[in-house]
Amino acid sequence: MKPEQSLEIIQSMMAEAKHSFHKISPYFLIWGVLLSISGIAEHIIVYQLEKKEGFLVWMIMGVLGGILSMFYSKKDSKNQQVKNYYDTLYGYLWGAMGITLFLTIVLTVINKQNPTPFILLLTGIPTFVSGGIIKFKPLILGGIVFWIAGIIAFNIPNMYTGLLFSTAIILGYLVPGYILYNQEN
Amino acid sequence: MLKKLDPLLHNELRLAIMSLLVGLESAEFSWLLEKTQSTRGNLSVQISKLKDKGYLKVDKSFKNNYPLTTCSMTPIGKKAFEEYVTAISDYLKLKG
Repeated sequence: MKPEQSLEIIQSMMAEAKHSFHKISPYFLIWGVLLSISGIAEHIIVYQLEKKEGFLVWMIMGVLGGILSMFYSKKDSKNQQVKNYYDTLYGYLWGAMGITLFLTIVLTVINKQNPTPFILLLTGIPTFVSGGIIKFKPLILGGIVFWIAGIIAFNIPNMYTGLLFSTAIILGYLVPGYILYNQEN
Repeated sequence: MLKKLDPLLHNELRLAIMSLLVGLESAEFSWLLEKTQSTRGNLSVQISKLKDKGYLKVDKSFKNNYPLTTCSMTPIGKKAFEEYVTAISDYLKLKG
């Protein structure tokens, strides 16, 4: 075998392995739809209809999102024949995000603070990093959208933070998620 | 002086297996079979050779009640692969 042939094999096989990513767009689509509905629903139920129970929509959507994500992840790993280092990285990154979010929500609610501005700022981190890992600009910009929305959220009345959250989710999750979905398929 | 090429890696199929695995945590036998377009028997033999030299780790388990073989590269394998790539690059530099 000539050195040129060796190099050709190395390059082509490494390129093949590079395309063995797990699809991540379904997660952005699942959470994008559920959370954007939640923000709007909160605004309508809590602030327009003046029913405090409206806050429960976050809990319901959170549980539903968790179940759907787990269901998809299980189905995906059944079909996937390759384990990528990035998959492990995503797992830890979003796992850490989930734990931090849960603690933030519990602690802010106990202290009678609106969790939304904090959630927005935090969401910027894994979104930005996920975009960086796969060099996907719309998701990197999505992370920046969350940080900007976080700053705005600290400076507007609580009744509008749900709507702001939905807008940020549409721009930061749904739009990049949809573009990524088309690329992955 | 040019380094001698690792004879174990200087083989089309074994080099393909190593190149596929170098950037991955692990891969199933069926995936390697599909990517290398080899035959089941030949792939199995070459994987065994790489395993015997300590370049690969081979795990046997079950998936959906079917036997599953998973391969991953060991640190020794990674080092050998890197040395092979360096040696090939040196050869090409000398030629070009």
